[in-house]
Parts: sequence; structure tokens; C-alpha cells
Amino acid sequence: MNEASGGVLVRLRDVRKHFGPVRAVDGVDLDIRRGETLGLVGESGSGKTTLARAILRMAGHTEGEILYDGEDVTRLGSGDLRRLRRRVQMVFQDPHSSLSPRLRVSYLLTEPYVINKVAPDERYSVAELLDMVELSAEQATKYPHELSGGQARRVGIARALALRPEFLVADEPTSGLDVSAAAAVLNLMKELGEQLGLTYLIITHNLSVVGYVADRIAVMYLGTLAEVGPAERVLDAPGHPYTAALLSALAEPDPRRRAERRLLAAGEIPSPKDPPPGCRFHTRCPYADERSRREPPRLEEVAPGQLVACHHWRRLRDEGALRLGR
Amino acid sequence: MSGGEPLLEVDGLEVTYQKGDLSHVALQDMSLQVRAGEILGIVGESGCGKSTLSAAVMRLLAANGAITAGSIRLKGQELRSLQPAQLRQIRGREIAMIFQDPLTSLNPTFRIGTQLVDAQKAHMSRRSRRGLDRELRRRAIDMLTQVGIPDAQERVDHFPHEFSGGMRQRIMIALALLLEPALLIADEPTSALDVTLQAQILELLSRLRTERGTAIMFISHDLGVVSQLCDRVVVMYAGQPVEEGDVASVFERPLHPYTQALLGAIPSRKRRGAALVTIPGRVPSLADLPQGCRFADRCQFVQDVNRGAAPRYVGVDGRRVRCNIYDPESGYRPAAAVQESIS
Amino acid sequence: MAAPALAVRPRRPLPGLASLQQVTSRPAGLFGLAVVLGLLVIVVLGPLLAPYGYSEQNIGERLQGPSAAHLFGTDQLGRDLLSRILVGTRVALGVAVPAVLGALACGLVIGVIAGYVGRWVDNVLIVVMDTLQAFPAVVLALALLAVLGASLQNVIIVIIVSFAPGYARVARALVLVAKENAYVEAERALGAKDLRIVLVHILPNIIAPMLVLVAMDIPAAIAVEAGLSFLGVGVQPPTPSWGIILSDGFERARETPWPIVFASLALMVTTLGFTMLGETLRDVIDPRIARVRRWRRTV
Repeated sequence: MNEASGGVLVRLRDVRKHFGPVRAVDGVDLDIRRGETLGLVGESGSGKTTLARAILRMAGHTEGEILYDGEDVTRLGSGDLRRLRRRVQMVFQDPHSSLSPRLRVSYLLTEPYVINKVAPDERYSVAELLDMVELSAEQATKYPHELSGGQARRVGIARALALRPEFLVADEPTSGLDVSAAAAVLNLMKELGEQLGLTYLIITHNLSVVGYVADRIAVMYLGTLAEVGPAERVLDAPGHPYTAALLSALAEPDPRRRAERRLLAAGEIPSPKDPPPGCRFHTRCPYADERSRREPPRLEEVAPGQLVACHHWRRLRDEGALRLGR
Repeated sequence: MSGGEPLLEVDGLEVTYQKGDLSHVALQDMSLQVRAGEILGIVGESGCGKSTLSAAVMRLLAANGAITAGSIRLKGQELRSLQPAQLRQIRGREIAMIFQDPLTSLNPTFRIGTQLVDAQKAHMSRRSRRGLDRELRRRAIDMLTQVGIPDAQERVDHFPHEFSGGMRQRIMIALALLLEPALLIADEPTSALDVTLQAQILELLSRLRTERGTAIMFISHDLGVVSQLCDRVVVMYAGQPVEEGDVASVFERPLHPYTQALLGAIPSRKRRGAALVTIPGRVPSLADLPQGCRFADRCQFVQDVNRGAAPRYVGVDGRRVRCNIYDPESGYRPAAAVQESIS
Repeated sequence: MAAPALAVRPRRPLPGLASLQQVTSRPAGLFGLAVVLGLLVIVVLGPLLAPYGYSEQNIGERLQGPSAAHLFGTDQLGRDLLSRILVGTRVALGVAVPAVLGALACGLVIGVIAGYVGRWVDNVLIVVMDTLQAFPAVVLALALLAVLGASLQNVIIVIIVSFAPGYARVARALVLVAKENAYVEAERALGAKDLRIVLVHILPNIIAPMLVLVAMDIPAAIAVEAGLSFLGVGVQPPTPSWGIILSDGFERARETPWPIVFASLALMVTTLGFTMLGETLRDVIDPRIARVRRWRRTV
């Protein structure tokens, strides 16, 4: 993926989205830089999908500030929203159910232009789009249910690229795919990112995917950010116990890791309807103390570019407690 | 821990499905062994036959499937020749199974305590059941505690929907282990769970194996999970086992080109900057299998001899591989670089 | 994860549609289709097939049983029953089909608006539909006909008013589910407006189960028409509705049973045919239900 070529494309400040009692996103500050690939990582209830949708104005009314290239997304009128949608697109999680079942691939690839009344000379042809995602021309006449998972996902990517966006949100790009199909999709996304100069927000629960593909990683837990930083640092020297737990749980096909020291998060993920007071992770954290139970930690810079929301980060760093591995 | 006579021995198993006029062989020439106290991983992508294998061993194939060849022996006893009543004795008691989706595997209208007690009663004769309710309930609570359900005394009377996904999976495991089966078949038990919960369940299975000596047949598409948990692994492709051996050898020095490619396709931070290995082509349709090696069309080491006759499942260094490259009698001409692993 | 593909896989029809082959391969479907097609032929060719005019009276030959001259016999005015029943098919279908289609159209519009727009609009429409459905159908029909007057057109209107709420409810339920589909969200993300989403992405995907309802409702509509005509408030003589033939037949039952027999047979065959076709369509379109019926215990 590209080097961050300067400039912040998306700026989130104190973003909050509640669905009734469910506090899906509860105060998130985050920047996404132009040209970078940001991996947004979290398990169920983390709020990562809601946050990404909020950037596209697809999550309903949202509190806080969401600036896209300087403009506040939450206040756009419908005409401006349409313009925004041409710059920001999303690839959805389920490859098949995100394609309208009664339409052929060729129409699915033409539809974005029809909807947005794009002039013929500004369009990619169906053949060009298929080629971009490495699908053969004969796929054009098929219906979604005749495509494999990998093929359907590629059609989704092609549709998202049709309007020539600059920012692409990919929701679990490898879910539902076999290992080899997933690898092909990741390769494709990397290449397209480089060719077209895309900024990516990749939502996933899979740390190996972000380890491979992301420039920076943001870890969410129950609606708040636990840690943000350059990918290499976050993976090598996590600052937050939850990140360390995710890394411990990461099952890489390397039997030598079996002997590694692990940090296991105890218990279950609490419900976002009733998040624990203070630090949300305290109910599962081996390092929690009285302060964790009372006071929510703030994001602090623990190393250049690496922010962690944990009261004990200094102690844990000095003790090397979160350094896992042989 | 492990050793001695194999607990489960599958030999030349073949399973065929009928659909109208068409029939296809979902599993062919399947052979494996599970010893007491061992965790065997069965790994493969979709359509490789791993779920068919578990259904076949439990004799729970769908109505249009049938075992058309081979044998399945549990502790030496041939399962294929058993009557339905005898099979019901074996299921649950000797072999137990846990599934991917704990939501639909537990009856939502009964308390979990009832389900746990019923499971025990089902394997007892009418007479011996009498008066044992208390004891059976005690055993149920005990098992729940062992699998990590907090406040088991109280929660034993709750309904499945009152538990989270991770908890339900633990209840399933408790249910499966209550009768102390010798073999536990786990079919993708963690695929639907969050990563941190997955780690807990794997930890639990490992501990249960150590404490109780239960053998586990762990089926998954996730190579990472298999490498963490299992002692030995069988890699499957298009209905056949293509490589098998102890986990360390297979993952560090994969022999079969498919295993090599599969391992090369997994993203990790060590691979940043390089493209992931992808396998060209698609898995062959089971109704239209090629003559020779089923992986031939997608293999980077393919030679003509591979398309002729099907490769044999040969032994190499204490492992087995279904590949002509390693069969000196196959007519394959090895080149110097062929046997290097892709890192 | 996808199931292994069978090599010689024919291009499957879209999910939710039935292919002709799927319908005719089932005996019920074959029978139903044959009956419906046969009825269509009679409707089109009706008067041509009839040996006599339907209102041709011949008092001298009244109340006769089946004979060479009159295959079904004659009624109390000497009119040929075969001819009357054949033309009655036109009346039956000519009322039922437009009425049910009309109910479908009205119900669809109302149901789609209620389901898609939601909120207070949904609540209002539901209340209206519920109120209409709360009246016993017969009472509603009689009341409307008393106001509008008895005629073929008004029977159609009455049927539309009675059946539309049913379609509206089904359509609303289907839309509620359909609009949660990921592809609806995907279309919005591309900038599609609501009208487009409804017309291009939702309607085509909900129409199939509604057509099954149509097939099942046509015999019901025929029965309603026959009933109303039987009571004298529907189609007026001399137009030969099966209901009128039945009511005339009941008055003269002691002298000849044949009008009752043949009119009932006509109603029965028609009802059976449409119902079997409808059930076959439903089984084909939604195989999950059919699979439950064929569930057997495995060893």
C-alpha cells in the first residue's frame, strides 16, 4: 500500500453512536491519512462496523465530528451526500447477499453509472471493470448465485471502484472465503491500492490480515479505542493488554509458537448495552486494579505515533509484560 | 498419553452422494488413525470432504449419502456392520460430537440441566435410572464447572438462550464429555466464535485431553488453529487425504504442493511486501474428477505422468503423501529444486 | 462454504422462480397446469365450443337429463346446460382473475408503502387493513353490493376490497424482510434512491410468493362469485354464472339433479386445478417447506 502521502483524509472526533441502550461507538478519536491502509480491528460488540458505516453516513444520526477532507459528513445535505458517496465506497462483508440476486453481473457493474448519471466517457466499461478485478469476461452474463464466494467478492470490489472513489472501506474482506481465495483477494486489494492510489479502511477481526496489509492498526473494544499505532509497533510491542490478548489468540500455522507465553483474556465479552464502568476491559484484564474499575483511561502517546488507552501502560512496558513470544 | 492400538481406525473409506441421476464420490480412499489421548487435525478447504468424514464416522450421513467402501473400526469393532440400536449405544458414549453452531445444537426449550441429565439417562437402562436423578444432576453441575461455566450450581437451571455463544459452546463440550467418551469429534467448534473466546475453547480442549485422556478429532479449515492444538494432522483435498504426519513436520516442511501452497497463502506480518501464494484454477468438481492426480491442473510441479494414473499414498519419513514426486515408482522425474518448501 | 459443484450443472433458474420443467415433473403440477390451460382454452373459445346459445330457451325440452342432443341435460327453461356451463367458465374466470389481480395490485402498493416507509404511515395503513379484514367477508360483500347494486363489475370490486388487505399484509411482511438485505444497503451506498430500490431491487424479489397466492386465491374468488350469484346478488340472469346454475338447480332438485351435479363438478375441477398448481409453485419456489414434508429419520 502507499506511503501515507501526507494529509488527513478522515478525522473523527468524539464520535458516538448509540442504538437505544446499545452503546455501539462511545467516544472515538481517530485520523485516517491519505494513501494509507488503516486496519480497524475488534471482536463482536467492538463497534468497528458501526464506526466505518458512520463515515459513510450509513449509520443513522451520529454524535461527534466526522470530517471527510475537511467537510463535516454528519451535516451534509442530500446533494452533497451524493457527491461524498462518489468519493467513498464500501465493499460489504457477505459477498453474495450484497449483490441484488435478480441482476446479472453486467448490469450490476453498469448500475452505479446509471444511478449517478455518469457521462459515457467517464465510465469504465464492464470489460474493463472485470479485468481490473481479474475476472474473465464470461462472468458478465452470470447471476450472483452462480458465482463463487471469491468471484462475488470481486464483483463487489469492482462495483465499489466503478465510481472511481479515493477511499474504500472493506468490511471483513476475507470472511467466508477459503484460504486461497482470501489470499487472492488480498493480493488484488494491495495491487489496486497501489495502482489507483486508494486509501483503505479495512475492518476485520483477523490480526493476520492486518498484519499483512495495514500501515496502521486501530484496536477497538466495546465502542472505544484501546490502541492505535503503526502496524509493526502494535504487533511487536503492543501497549494494551487487549491487543496482547488478541495477538496471543492469533493462531498462526507455526507450531513453534505453541511454547509461547500467552495472555488470555478471561471471561466473555460484556454486552455493549451495559459496558463495564471505568476501563471497559477491566473485567477480563489480569492487570486491572481499583483505578481501572473507576476511571476510564484516555489515549496517551506511549511511543511515536502509538497511542494506548490504559492506566498501566508505563508499568507494563517497563516490565515487558506484554512482550509475548519465544 | 498416546500410544498402543489405535482407538479409531478408518481404512479405505468411500462415501457417495446421490442426487437424482447424478452421484458423486465425496470421500475416497480415506484412511486415518486416532490413538487414545491424541488430537488429530483434519484440515482442508470447502468441499474437501472433511465434514462428510465426521458424519460418516458417526454414521450420520444425510439421507442421500452412503458409505460405499472401506471400514471404520472403533476399538477394533467394525461400525459399518452395526444395527441402529447398537450405533445409538456407541454415539454419545464412545464417540461424541460437537458442532460449529452452538445456537442450534442445544434445544432451546429445555433447561441445560435437563439436557445434561437426559443425555446420561439415554445411555442407561430403565432400571438403573431410577433414583439416580440427584447423582446425575451432580455430575452435570460438576462437568459444567470443569468446562468453565461460572456459578454452575445456579446456572444449570437456565435455558440456552440465557448464555452467550462462548458459554453455549462450553455447554456443548460438557454435554459431549459427560459420558466420558473415548473419542470426541469436533467439527469446526470455534469458527463461529470471537478470537479471544476461540483461544479459551482451544485451551479447554487441550486441558481436557491432558486430564482425561480423551482423543480428539479436530476438523477445521483454519490451519493456524490446527497447528496450535493438534498433535498430528491430515490435509484433505477434493475428497482424499493428500498429506499426513505430525504437526511440526507438516507445517515446517510440507511435502505436498497443495499443502505448500496453502501455507503460503496465509497472510501474516512476516509476509508484508510480498504477494501471497495463490493457487490457480479451482477445486475440481466432484462429479467430474480427473483421471490422475486431482491437483494436477493447479500444481506448479506437474508432469505428464501425473495425469495418467492416480498417485499412491506413500510413506515418507514417518509421514504419508499422495504425490508422485515422492513415489520412486511413479515415473516422476524429480528436478533438483522441486522438493524445496515454499516459505 | 459452498457445496461441491456437480460438473454437468444446468444453469439454475433464479432462486424464487420456477421452471416449467420443475412444475410439470410433479403430478400435482402437471394436473393443475393442464386444468388451468384447459380452462383458458374454454374461456377463449367458449361460445364457439358451445353447441347452443346460453340463453336459448326451449321449454319443450326442459329439465332433461344428459342425452345425445344435450350432453349435460337442460335446465328449467330448456337451456342447454353444457353451453351454460362453458360460458359460465368465462364468467367465473372473468370475474376471478381480474379481481384477484386487482387485489394483488392494490395490496402490493399498500403493503410496499407500509413496509418500506414504516413509522406512522405503516401504522395507519395497518389499522385500515385490519378494519377491513375484521368484517366477515360475506357481510362486507353484501353491504357493498347493497350500496353499489348487483352486477358483474361490482362483484369484482367487492372481491378486490375483500382480498386486498391479505395481499397488503403479505407484501408488507416480505418488504420488511427484503429491505434488511445487504444488497439494499449496498445500493444505497451507491447512491440509489428509494423509488429505484423498491422498483428494481425489492419488487422483483418479492413477486414470486405473491404469484403463488394468486394461484391459490383464484378458486376462492370463483367461490365468492358463485356464492354471491347463488344468493342472487351477484351476476344477474340471463348471464350464466355457475352459482346461478346451482341455485336454479337447487330449486328443481327433485325433478333433476343434473344441474347441481355439473355445476359442482365444474367448481370442483377448477378449484382443484388452481390449488394444485399453486401448491406446486409454492413447493418449487420454497423448497424448504417441501423438504420438511419429506424428512425421514436417518439411522
